[in-house]
Amino acid sequence: MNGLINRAIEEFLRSTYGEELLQSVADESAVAAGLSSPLWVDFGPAALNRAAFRLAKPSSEMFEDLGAWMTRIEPIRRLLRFSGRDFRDFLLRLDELPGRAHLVVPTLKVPRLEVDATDQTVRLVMGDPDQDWQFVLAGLIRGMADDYGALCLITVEEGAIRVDIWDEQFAEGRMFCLQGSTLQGPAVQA
Amino acid sequence: MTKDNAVSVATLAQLMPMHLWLADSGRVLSVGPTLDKVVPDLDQGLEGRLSGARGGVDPVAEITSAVDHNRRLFLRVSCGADLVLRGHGVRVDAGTMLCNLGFGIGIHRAIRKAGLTDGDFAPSELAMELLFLHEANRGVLTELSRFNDQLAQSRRVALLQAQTDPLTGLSNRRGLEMALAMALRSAGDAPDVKPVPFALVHLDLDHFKQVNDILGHKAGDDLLQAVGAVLRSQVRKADTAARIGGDEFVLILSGMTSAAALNELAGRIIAAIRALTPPGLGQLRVSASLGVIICTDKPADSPEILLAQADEALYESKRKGRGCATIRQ
Repeated sequence: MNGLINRAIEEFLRSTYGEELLQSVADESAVAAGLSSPLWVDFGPAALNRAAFRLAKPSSEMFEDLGAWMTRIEPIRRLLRFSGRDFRDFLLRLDELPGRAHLVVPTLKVPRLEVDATDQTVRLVMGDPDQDWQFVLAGLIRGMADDYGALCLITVEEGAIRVDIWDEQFAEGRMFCLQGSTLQGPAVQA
Repeated sequence: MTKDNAVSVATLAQLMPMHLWLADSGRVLSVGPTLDKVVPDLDQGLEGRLSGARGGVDPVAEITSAVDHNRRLFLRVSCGADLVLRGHGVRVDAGTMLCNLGFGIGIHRAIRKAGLTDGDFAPSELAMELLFLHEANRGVLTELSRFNDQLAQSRRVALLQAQTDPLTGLSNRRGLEMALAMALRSAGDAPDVKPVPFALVHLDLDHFKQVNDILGHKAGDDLLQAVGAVLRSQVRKADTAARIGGDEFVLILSGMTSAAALNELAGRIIAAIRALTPPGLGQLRVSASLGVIICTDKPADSPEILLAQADEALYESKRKGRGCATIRQ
């Protein structure tokens, strides 16, 4: 289901940078694809690269911001919070992520992760190194550290992400209760 | 377990947060912390707090029977939400029974009722995964139905565009063909439905070519647009107005069978179109010739034949000197 990823990218660009940037990225993608109308453009990862270029930002930062943005979308945040009772638990169970994704959307390809934990450091080793995913994941972890109220240092290494946890209870994390609200918005909201 | 009760009860609570340990008499020996949240004061006795959910009402009898027959155990929580606990039980030593309970599909109600958190479930339970799956599915379904709505909307727009003449906003030939097929169907097909007669009008502008030649194509297009507006204003909602090419227009007028009324309508249309004559044409006046045929309940004719008949009537108007209508029954 590439549609879900594309839509997340589209909404991320729209809510962060506005309709104007989105439109120019769409136009550019349409021209690049040889389409006569930007109506049919899919906002794939290439759109993020184009947006990064226009904004004179490194691509990696763009992908990382997408990951962090996802953690601020309530339904996505809730799904992530279901995956760990505290920040450390969340990190240790990130190797379940492909399995969880597969349960819901079997066609969604999420790269395999191996978790390698020592005392205060958790290393997430990517099974099949993929730069884009790696930065999205780093952003996701950054966002969830905020959500749990943890203080940590996130370093993107060659084929791995290293998280040094300084203080798991540095700040009061955001509220989370299992039952959630009965009124839930769409999986991605503007 | 019997050797050192104090320790075993604590470890039991840790291992099985949903356990219930009771003597055969019904006296409660130990209640898991999560079960205690869902059914408060259960250690005071089962009576009035739990009941059998499959027939028998006495909870202790229900538990004893399930344990002795090695059956599944279903217990209804008496207070509040419609909640059934299910599980199984064993005899741990003479005179006591140990049950392990769970929520099954009613887990959402239990969470709402007792405000349960992740920590209330044993790690071996799939409670978190069930909740995850539930919310994830809902999210994906919401997205999918959004995709669907968008697709359906685009399809409607595309269909409408495919049947619309972009210059005048009237139907195009494709739209006319569909409308005519519909009109013929309601005029003949079903024997039990009273046929709706209609009039078919074929209209052609007079001296349109000169407008194009003398004043340019922009003036020609403007005139076509204005004619489109005239026709739209002269037909009713149930009627169809179409431009099927160049300066040729077709109207389908539902229920119009009176030659007098059609004559009057034709007069109004011709007058309105004459008034559209752009300045700069000299002596020439733009006008319209009309061919009208009235289709009552008979039409076994195909749309093509009807259109050809209307076209013939139109040419008769042209021969008569243009700017008039020919009506045929």
